[in-house]
Amino acid sequence: MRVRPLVSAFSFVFVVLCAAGAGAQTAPATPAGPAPAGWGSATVRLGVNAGLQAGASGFTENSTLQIYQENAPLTVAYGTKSGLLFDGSLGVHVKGRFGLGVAMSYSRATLAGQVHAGIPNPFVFGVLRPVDGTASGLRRTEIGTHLQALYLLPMNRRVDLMLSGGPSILYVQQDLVTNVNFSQTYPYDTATFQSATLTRVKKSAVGFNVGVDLSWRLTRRIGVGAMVRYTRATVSLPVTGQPSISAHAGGFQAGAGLRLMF
Amino acid sequence: MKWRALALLTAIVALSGARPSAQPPSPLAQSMDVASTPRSLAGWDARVHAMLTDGQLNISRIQRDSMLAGRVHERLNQTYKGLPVFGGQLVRQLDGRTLVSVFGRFFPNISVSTQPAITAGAAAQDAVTAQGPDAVASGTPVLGILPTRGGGGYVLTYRIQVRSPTDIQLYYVNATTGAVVQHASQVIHDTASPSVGIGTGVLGDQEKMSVDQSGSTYQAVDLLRPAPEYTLTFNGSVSRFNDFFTTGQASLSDVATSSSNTWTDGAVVDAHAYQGFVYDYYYKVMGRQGLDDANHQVISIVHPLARADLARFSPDIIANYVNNAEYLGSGYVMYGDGDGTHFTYLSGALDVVGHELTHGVTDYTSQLVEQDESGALAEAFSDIMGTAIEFYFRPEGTGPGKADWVIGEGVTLSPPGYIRSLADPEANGYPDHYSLLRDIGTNVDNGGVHENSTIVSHAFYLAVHGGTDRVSGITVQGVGDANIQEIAKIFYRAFTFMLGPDSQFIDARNATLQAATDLYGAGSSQYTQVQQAWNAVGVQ
Repeated sequence: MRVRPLVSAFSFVFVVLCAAGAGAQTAPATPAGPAPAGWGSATVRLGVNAGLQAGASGFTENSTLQIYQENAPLTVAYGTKSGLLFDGSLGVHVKGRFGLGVAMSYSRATLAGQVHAGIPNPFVFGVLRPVDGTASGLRRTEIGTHLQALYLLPMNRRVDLMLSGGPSILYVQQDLVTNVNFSQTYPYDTATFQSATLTRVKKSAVGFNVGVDLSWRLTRRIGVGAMVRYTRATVSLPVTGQPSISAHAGGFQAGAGLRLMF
Repeated sequence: MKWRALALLTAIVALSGARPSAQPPSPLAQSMDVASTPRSLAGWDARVHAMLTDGQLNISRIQRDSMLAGRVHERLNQTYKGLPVFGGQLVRQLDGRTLVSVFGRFFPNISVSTQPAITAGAAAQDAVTAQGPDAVASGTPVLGILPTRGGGGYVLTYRIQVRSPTDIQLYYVNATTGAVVQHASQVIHDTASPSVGIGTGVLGDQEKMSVDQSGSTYQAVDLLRPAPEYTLTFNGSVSRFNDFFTTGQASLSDVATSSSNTWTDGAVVDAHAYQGFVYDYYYKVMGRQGLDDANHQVISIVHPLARADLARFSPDIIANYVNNAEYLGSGYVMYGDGDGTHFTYLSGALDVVGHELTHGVTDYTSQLVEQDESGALAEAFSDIMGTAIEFYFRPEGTGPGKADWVIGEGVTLSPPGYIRSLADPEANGYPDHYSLLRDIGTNVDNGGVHENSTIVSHAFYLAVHGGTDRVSGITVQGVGDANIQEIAKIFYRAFTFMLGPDSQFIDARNATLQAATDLYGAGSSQYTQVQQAWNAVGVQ
């Protein structure tokens, strides 16, 4: 279920790729061997990458639980961790060295959160017992749709450098700690962290992306390349009954893969 | 003459007690000297051992010492030809196999026939008849030897509990003639006087309640503490009230409930929350697990009679079950609603709840007889612990919700606004010196058990807070209110481990000094303050 957005994204890219390929077949035949760098006769460039996404900065959740008829402060410091990245892009030549493109990225990482909570005493008001622990296995999934203005800079006959930038829509799925499970024994002067209750929340936000793509033609239509992109957006993760949590999405994305030019 | 006039031990430890302030150091004081001198204790050790061997003493209970590792306290009941001698009990403290102290009362020179002329059933009927209509005998009569009050000797009697719609009495019926020798109520009332204060009632603060959720209903059953604790309400039902006293049975249908977990009945809220506080205090401070140190259940009963029905009740009923709280035995406590003029709901005062439940602790330890000096000790111990509990949970200050040196300030509506004062007993007409002891041997307040209690509780106050006794003029520095639990531990240790059913004030003095020695050393400040406090109130 969770990979469905990824499949959808790549299906979209595949359809675009096929359409572009069909269009390319109508173009005049070109000589064998690599075409000159730059857009040249190609009007469509496709790229698929696999790589890593370095997560955006960590974020902190400050919320209040209701335990034993009293407010129980909860703080969770969510860390950052690199995750796998899959990326597909489509670029269309517009004029000269400029073009327009769209890219879709999918990244997934498993984070840990440092949990600190004050658990009220069950018998008296105003006596909080600190509990600390780590909530692990917090899954974070990001699907980015990046609209891009492209500028293709030929380096030589085989190597191109593509500069890109534009707005991004980042869709984030994040596991948040929404409750703390603790153990205690009479007289309940202390409590011990046992586990955290997780809730998966989803939210989209608009941000931006800038990137560089270096491609090397192996043949006239096929090449390999590497890309680096930085994308970022600020999302407000909704938590039922609590203030939303502000977190950054995106980060540095780096990948390498196949390049097709039609 | 009192029971204590017959209470003699050997030349080494003679536990008879003359009025302390009017006599030279009592034999009991000598016993305390002996207790602090291992060489002298050795003789007493051998004597107890001999009495255990020949059957004059039987070990009835061994209590672990929750305050000092390795110590145990053995309660040795006196018997005569296999029958119990009512009130005869020694308590010896052992450190491993070494005797540390001995307290208690032993009745010598018993010479009576142990063959009853009437059956237990006939004796029970005599007791029921004496109690009046609607009374019933409860439990099994116990045949034993009763040292008579007044020093007349010993009588073979049946001890019989008799329940009536408004009381629980303990009767001693002569096993030869069937005559009632003596009887007394087992219901331990708190406030002996309808005096008077001003308060805001029980609804002024919020408390947490440990309850049981059953479906969509919440029940006042504490499931978080080791001891089962329930709060019941009779909702002012006279028939339920009478039925309870007659049968001694409470029903789960009486458990207070609420359709939401927001409780609005203040009497229920405070009774339930405060009985939990009392358990917590004894556990955390004294290392005690409930009334019997084995997590005995506690059942609080509120709204026993309704204010709206006051016109139907006699003054005695109003005094005892409306304007009063009482420990009923076996973990049952009853809190009156108050008449709204002199008192409001009595469960609203933490020190009152602590007082009543401490009667339960006494019931499972020293079993101080609720009569004369021993009864005054029981009442004093309850006031002392009630105050110590209040200091443990509340900030020091004045008025309801604060820790102070008066009892029941939150529930007393008429002047002076409290029931008894430990700091200034005389301000409310209570004695603050042993020379003012009153009503001993009378039926007034069971021999002045509440009135005279302030002599002892005032000593506790002086040992903690410091001050000058009004009568003696002796000034005690005190350890300071911040250290109240140090002195509370001394009194707890003495009253629960060392005193027996017929202990007198002088016994309490000596036992507390022994406890101070055990806990802090004979040269400690705590020992000195306790000693000076007893001196100040004339118990020496």
